[in-house]
This record gives sequence, structure tokens and C-alpha cells, in this order.
Amino acid sequence: MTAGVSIEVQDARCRFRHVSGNTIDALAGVDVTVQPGEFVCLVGRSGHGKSTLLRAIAGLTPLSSGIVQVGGTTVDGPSVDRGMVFQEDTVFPWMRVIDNVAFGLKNKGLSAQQATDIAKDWLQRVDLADFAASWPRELSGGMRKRVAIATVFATEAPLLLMDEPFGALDYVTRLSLYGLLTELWSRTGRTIVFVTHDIEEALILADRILVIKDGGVADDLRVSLPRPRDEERRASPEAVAITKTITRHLGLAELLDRHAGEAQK
Amino acid sequence: MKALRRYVVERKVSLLTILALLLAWQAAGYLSPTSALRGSPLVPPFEFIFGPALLGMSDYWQYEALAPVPSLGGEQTWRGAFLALGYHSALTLWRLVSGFVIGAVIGTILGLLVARSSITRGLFALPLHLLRMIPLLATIPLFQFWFGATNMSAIIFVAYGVGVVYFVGTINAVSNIPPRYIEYARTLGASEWRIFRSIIFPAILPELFSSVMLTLGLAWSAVIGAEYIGVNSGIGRMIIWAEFFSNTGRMALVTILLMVYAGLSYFLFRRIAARILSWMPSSASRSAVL
Amino acid sequence: MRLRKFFRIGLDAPLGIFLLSVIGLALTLALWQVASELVGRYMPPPLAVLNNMIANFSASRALQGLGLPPGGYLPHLMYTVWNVTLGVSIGVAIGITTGLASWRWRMVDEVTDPIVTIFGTLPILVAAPFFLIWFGLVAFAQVSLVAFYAAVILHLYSLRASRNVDPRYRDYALTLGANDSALFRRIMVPAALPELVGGIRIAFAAAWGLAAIAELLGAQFGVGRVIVSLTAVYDVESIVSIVLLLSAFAVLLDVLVLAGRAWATRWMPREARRP
Repeated sequence: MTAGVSIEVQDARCRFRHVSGNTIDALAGVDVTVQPGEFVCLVGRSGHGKSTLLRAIAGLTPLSSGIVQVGGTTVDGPSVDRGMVFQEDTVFPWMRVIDNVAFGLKNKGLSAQQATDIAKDWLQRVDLADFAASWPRELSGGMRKRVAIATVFATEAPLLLMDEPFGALDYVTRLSLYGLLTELWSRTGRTIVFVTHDIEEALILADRILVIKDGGVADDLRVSLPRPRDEERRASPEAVAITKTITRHLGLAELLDRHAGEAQK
Repeated sequence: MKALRRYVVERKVSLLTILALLLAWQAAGYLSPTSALRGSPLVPPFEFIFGPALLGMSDYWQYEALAPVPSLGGEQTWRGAFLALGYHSALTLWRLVSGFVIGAVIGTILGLLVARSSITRGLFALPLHLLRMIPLLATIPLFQFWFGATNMSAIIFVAYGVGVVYFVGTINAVSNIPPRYIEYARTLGASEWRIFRSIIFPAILPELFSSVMLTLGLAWSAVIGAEYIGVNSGIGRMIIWAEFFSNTGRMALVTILLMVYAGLSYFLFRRIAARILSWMPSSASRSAVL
Repeated sequence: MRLRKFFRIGLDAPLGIFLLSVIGLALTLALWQVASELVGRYMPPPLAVLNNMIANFSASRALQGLGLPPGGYLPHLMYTVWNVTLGVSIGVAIGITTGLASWRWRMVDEVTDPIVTIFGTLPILVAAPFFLIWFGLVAFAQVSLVAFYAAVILHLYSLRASRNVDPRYRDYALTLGANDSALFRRIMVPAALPELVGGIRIAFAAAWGLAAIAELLGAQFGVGRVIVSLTAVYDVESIVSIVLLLSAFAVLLDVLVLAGRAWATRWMPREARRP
């Protein structure tokens, strides 16, 4: 089993040119350190830079300045050592389920036989052994997410990056996938960086929550609730305090106040 | 000036490629073995194409009133060369344009008639598909038998080639309109004409325009093919006259001319299409939704 | 269950479509018969054409009389079909490669773009006489003409298709460690394939005519050569026969391409699979 790796982000800046001609600072000097094996959630509103930070760590979006190091090595492009699960359905529809899981393994240079064996093993672990020969279109959305999870875990990437992976799924499916993900994570000890806008999701999954606002880290919160984080634990004073802190950062309080004020008028 | 410079800087690789192609042709012209026949280098260099070859086009001029006719013992003149090129170009363009318009109009009308009911659509589907699979250029001799080696025959041939594409294209476009739009219009009491004007026509318009881009090339091939093998005039025929004596310079000249004409026809059509589509912004955007 | 669906009453049921097609074909033949009565000699009736096809398919006195080899239509058809298939195959391979390379490397795009623009607008037919002079051998000229045209079409199609492939698949593949080769073979080609087949069909459709023209302009063998000989003796019946036989091969190859498409797109949902 591979253990996780550390992440070091120093003064990361990322500037885009908008179609209107204006420049936008998606990342305005981010400093983050993540310990090996940590499960970190990036929480924030849309358009504040969560996904850009994640894509920068993945090597998919180049930085304008600053540096990202994973396991002591500077990131300069995507790599099989940093697995990524996207919000959209990215399971390749033209490959059978087993070939999807084996894709990363073959890229690592494993023989077809070895890759298929490992892929089969991982399909078993996400409870999809019976669907190895199916086309992705024959699976439900939640099952396809399990395929994506099996794919990135199978490559033994020490770092997994997840960009709102469960955003499009229904509540029950999501809950079951949280269980699967935390189980695989605690067994394999990988580092996971997980982007979400859902505070409950972050409370269920994270060791640590980074609140991202205006292209920077607004707060760094440690979540020491015992697992599994069921409804009661999520209602504990510690959890409520964290929720309140996050909503304050997100500006929810002012929004509610304004609505309340308008309602009184 | 500034815009020009920016264009050159942005597209410098593309421009260099074109330059390299031209230079390679020129170099090949000097390096390739000259054939025994005078006036027929294997690869004609540009000064040959726009010099003796261009002047030689006056050989194809027939009317003594305007310029000397070399085939009657007159001398080769620039005036005769340009007159000959202009005359045969005009013939070819006339065949192209009239054949194209006739084919497009008739094809579209037939398509609309057939597309009205699913029974006629079903009846025409297979025969039309098979008709379209007949290699157009291989049927040129048949058109000669049916309509003679005449101007009219060439126009009919172009019209046929273009018309079949519009016929099929219109039927497909109409049958791709979701029936609920038409049903909805009916429940609102729309007349047949109104349904045609506000639903069917805007829906098939983009299809018609994309058919133009497709059939423009087809029409050029058809008219040149017809001139290669059938009608004894037009610039397509000039290539064959020149090929008979392996007169590569003249062939290259006509090829360059055709390249310019074809490029211009695409350019003109894009302009016209942009104009028309901007006149009917509502229909264009609506059809994008369909 | 399937049978019931087949026999379901209605114009969109397979049986309905089949019956309508048969009736449509019968009506076309009837129309042809009527036309032949009206036109006469230059419009042979369908039955005469069918008889001609059968009589001259693999052995022909008539062709021998014109100074052609005695093998009938078949060897000429095979010759033309082979040249077309070879030319299209070469062109498709080249076009897809350059198209995908242009998608991947900007430099390749900038170099190929003017070439493809020039030869995409040029009616490729005008190159035929040049090819005949340069290469002498008609077969070679024919194959290169077809290959050239197919390459230009497929370049444009594959470039457009690869630009239409959702970039998230590329991102995902890169985070799974895909190199250029894996990216092309396992992501871009399968994702772009449905659109590429459209290009292949267009290339084939034009290729038959191009091959015929090259042969009409001066071949010793092939369908075009037969047509030239038959034109000289006003044998319209035989011309119609061999043109229709060539069309039959065109239909056959189109069906094969579509079958290949059906196999290669079996991962798609049924609605999206129709060409």
C-alpha cells in the first residue's frame, strides 16, 4: 500500500484574461501545507478559486507565479501520481468498465494482464465486479463515480484530487459514496484534497477544512470529530461551531440580515 | 498597416509555408528534365506560366474582329489571350451559376413536397439514396447522349448533381423537426402556410446553407468534368486542349485561374450567407434551438 | 417481442419502412420503363439493362469486339474498386494523422492550414491531367488523386472532430498518466470516430467520380475505359449497366463503412448511434 504525500503551495498566483479583456486573479497568493495522509476539504463559493487551486496542484492549470510541490517535487504538468476525480462524468464512454479502471495502470507501463488483474480487484472493492464487461452507459451515475474512484485508487497515486465529485448525485447515493471513500482512504492512507461547496459534505469527510475566498485561504479549520460522522456527531457543538465559522466567511450572515431587514420594511 | 503587420506576425508560419510551396514549385521547374517537346516542361516555372503560356492562350481565340486568330494564321497577342480566357471563363461560370441555381431551387421544392407526408418520405427514401450513390462524374457520357454535347447539357448536368443533394438535404431537415413544434402550432390554429413560414422554413435554412458549402465544390467538379469529357468549350476544356500537347504551362495557368475562381465563389457565398442570416436573426437563432 | 415490434402497424415500424421502400423502388423502375418507351434508344428499359449486366458480367463478346480483354465487366470493376479503396485508405490514414497532429501541435496546424485551405477549395479534378502527365501510369495517378482528396477531407474532419471532443476527457486522461500515443489512440480517435466516419463516407462518395474521370481521360483498363469504348459505339445500354454495377459496389462499400461505424460506436446510447 502506498502512503500519502505532502503538498506545499507557496504564494501561488493565477491570472486569467477574461473575454471582456479584464484580468481576473483566480488565485491571489495562496500558501497551503498539507501533511501526508490528510483529508483536506476546500470549501467556498463558486468562482472564488477552489477548482483553480485543485487544477494547479494537478498540473492542469499552469500558475502565473508561485510554486506547487507534491512530495518535495515541483509540479509542472499532470501526472499519474496525482489522480483526479472530476465533477462531470469523465469515465470514458467508449471503454468498457474494466478498461477504464485499467487505463491508468497501462499508462504506468503494466502489462495488459497485470493491469486487468488489478482493475478486477479494485472493481471488487467498489462492489462492481459484475459490471466489468459493461459499457459505462449501462451504469447509473453513482456507479460511474465508483468506477472513477476505483480508477484513481488503482493507480496507487499517493495524492487524490477531487473536484466536487458527487455534486450531481442524489442524497442517498452521496451518503453511500462518503462511506466508500472514507473507508478506502483510511485503509490506504492516501492524501486527499476534496473541493466542495457543501459544508455538510466537508464535515463528514475532512480532517481539515480550508475556506477559500477571493483567491486566497480565509481560514484553516481542524475537524477532530470521531468517525463515522453520523447525524448526531454532525450536530455536536464542535461541528456547529465549524459550520458557523464557515457561513460567516461565506457572507451568509449578511445576506440573511439583509433579507430580514427587507422583510421588515 | 498596423493590422497588416499583426496579421503577418500572427500567421508567419502559414505565410512561410505558402512561400516555401511556391519556391519549391519554382525550384522543381528549374531542376526537372525539360521534355523534347518545346513549351512543355514537366513542371512549368512561374515566369513560363505567366509568359509564353499566357500568351499562348490566344491560340484559343476564334473571332477575328476583336483580335488576330492564330489558327487562321494570325499572330499570338496578349489581347487575344485575355479575350480567350475571359470568353471561356464566362461560359464556365454561366454553366456553374445557372446549373447551381436551377438545381438548388428545384431540389429544395421537390424536397419540401416529398417531406410533407411520411408516406411519400418512405417511398422516396431508398430510390433517392441509391440515386445519390451513382458516381456523378461517371454519368457524364450518359448526359451527352440524352442532351447532346451542348451548353444546355452541361447546365442540366450541374443542376442534377446539385439538385439531388438539396432534395435529400431538405427531406432530412424537415423530418428532423420535432413534430411537437408543428402540432403545437396546429393547436394554436396556424395555417399550413404559416407553419411553413414560421417553423419549417427557419428550420431548414441552416441545412440549405450548409448544403451550399458542400455543393459548391460538387458543382465545380461537375462543370469541369462536363467540359473535360462533353462540351467543347469552357476553361475545363482548355485544360484538355493543353493536355493534348502536354502543354503543362497552359494547364497550370488555367488551374491557377480555377483556384482563384473557386476561392472567390466560396468567399462570396460566405459573405452572402452572413448577410442573409443577419437579416433574419430570429429565424437563425430559433433554428439553432431546434 | 421483436417480431411484434417488426409487425407493429405504423409508418415508423420496420415492416412499414421496408414495404414503403419496396414500393418506392418498384415505382422508380416503372417510371424508368415509361421513360425508356418515350425516349427510345438512348434510354434502355430496366429489364434490358439487367439482362446486359448478367450477360456481360464475367465474360463479354461485346467488350472483346471493342479491343478490350474478354473478361466482361468484372475485372474492370474490381480494378476501379481496388484503386478507389486503396486511395481512400491511404488518404484517410494520412488525413487523420495530420488532423490529429494539427490539433495537438499548433505548429503543425499553422503549416497544414494554408495547404488544406488551398486544396480544399480547389476542385481537385483540375489536378487529374497533371497527375496523368507526371505519373504516366493511370492507376498511380488515380490512386494519388483519390488519396489526396481523401486526405484533405479527413484532415478537416478530424481537426474539427478533435476540437469538438470534450476537453475534460483529455484532462482526465492526462491525470491518469496518458502519453501522446495513448491520448491519440485511446481517447481522441474513439471520441472523434463518429464524426470521422462522416468524412470517410464523403471521401468515398467523391472518390468514385474522381477515379472514373481519371479513367475517362485515358486509361487502358477500368470502368472509365470501358465507358469510353462504349461511348464510341453508342452502346448506352452497356454504359448504364456498368455505371449501375459500379454504383452497386459504391453502395456495398458504404454499407461496410456503416457496419464498421455501428461496431465502433456500440458504446454510444442507441439514439446517438444513428449516422
